Order: sequence, then C-alpha cells, then structure tokens
Amino acid sequence: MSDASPTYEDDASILDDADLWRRIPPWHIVDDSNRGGKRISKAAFEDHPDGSPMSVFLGQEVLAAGRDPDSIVASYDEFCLASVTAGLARSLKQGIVRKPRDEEPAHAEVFGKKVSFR
Amino acid sequence: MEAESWLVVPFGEGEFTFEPAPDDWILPLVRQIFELGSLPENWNSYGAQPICPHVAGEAVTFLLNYLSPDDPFPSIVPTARGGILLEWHEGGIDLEVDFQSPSLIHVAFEDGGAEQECDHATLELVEDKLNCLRSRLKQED
Repeated sequence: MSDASPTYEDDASILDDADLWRRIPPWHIVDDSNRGGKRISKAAFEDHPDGSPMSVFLGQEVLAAGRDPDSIVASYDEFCLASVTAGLARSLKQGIVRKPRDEEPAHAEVFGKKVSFR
Repeated sequence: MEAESWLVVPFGEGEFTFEPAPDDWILPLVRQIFELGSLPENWNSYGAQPICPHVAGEAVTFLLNYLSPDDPFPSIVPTARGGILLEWHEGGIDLEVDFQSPSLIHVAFEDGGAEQECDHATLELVEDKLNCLRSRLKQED
C-alpha cells in the first residue's frame, strides 16, 4: 500500500493479467526519437486533480458486459485507449481497487505515487 | 524579414503581450503553449483543470531564456492539474521538465539506465540537464 493512499487496499481479485484501460487524449501522444516513433506521455497517467487516484476501466469486465473497447473512447474525438496489465502497475508500486459507478460498472482506480509510471 | 516589435497572443480569456516579439524560430513553440489556453475544464475526460496562465507564462519564459535555435524542440504537454510538461526524448536521453505551478518545477532525467528525479528543481538544474542533452546530440553529429 502506498503512503500517499493509506485508505486504499490493493484488490487481489483483480489478477495480474487483468487489463487496465485508460483514455489517452491527443495532447499526450509525444515524439520519441529514442524509440523511433511516438510514446504516451507520463502526463496521461496522473491522479485526478482533486487528489483521488487515477481512473481506469477493467477491460475484461467491459468485454464481459458485451461492450467493445471503442465504446470507452467513442465520445471523445482523437482519443486513444491505452492498456496496461495490473501486474505491470503493481510492479511500479501501484495498487488497484474497484470503484464501480452507476454509469460505468467497470470503473476502477490505480493508487500510489506515480513518479515512475512510464 | 524583420520581426514585429511586439506580439499579442490570446490565452484563454486573456492574452499575453511580448515586447519585443519572440524570434521567428521559437514562435511555433510559443504558439503551441498558448493554444493550450483553449483547453476547457475536463479536457482529458478525467476532470483535468484548464491550463494556468501563470504556468504558461513561466514555461514560455523558460523557453525564451534557455532554448537556442540549434536545440531540439520539446513536446509541449498539458497536465491534469493545469501545468505544462516539456519533454525531450532524443539521443538516448529522456528529459521531462514539469511546470507544476508558477513556482514549482519537477525534473525527470534518464540517460540509459540512470534515472534522476528532482522536485523543486532550479532553473540552473534544468539548464544543466539541457546541456547534457545538447552534448549528447553534438556527439552524435
């Protein structure tokens, strides 16, 4: 558990191979000559400005509900959808907790200090 | 062609005036920063704040004072808390200068495996890291 988020506890029922989806706005796709192409800026993986942890969608739960990945970005022009595994997030000292919302049952949050979330 | 003696650039509901006008070579970067002034609240779909005009002013001031025409241009990236992140990913170096508020700069520098991060970075530190990038790119020429 992160010092910055003492009230959150990593949900072990979200397995390491679970896909965490996050919308990426066009401003967060940047040039990367080191990789010979583009990369997603770390700015795309910040916590909410109000201090609550970073929002994600549990990919498998979206699919299990019969929804397409495109449904996550359909309302947002030029946005992309990034996917990382819960295991990768945990390897970067993050935790994942389910936070279903009325309008989005597959919503979850990734908590922990995001200094090196690349 | 001689540059105009002054330049007015809109930002959100306000505007910035430059006297004298920035040199032509840096105008694309200046305009990219000021285009961020049109981002509305929630521009990232996760509750992002509009870009702070004072932060934009600091980022532009930094670029005008420390960047030279031969330098690689950074990517200009808005951040959810209303800040501006300048990113260079060249020469095997990753340099990120995050203007989090008018008085708070965070720097991340990675050269191969070695990574350094600094909260409350000084402009001298930023210039030092920029010089590392310049040296690396010069070696590669």
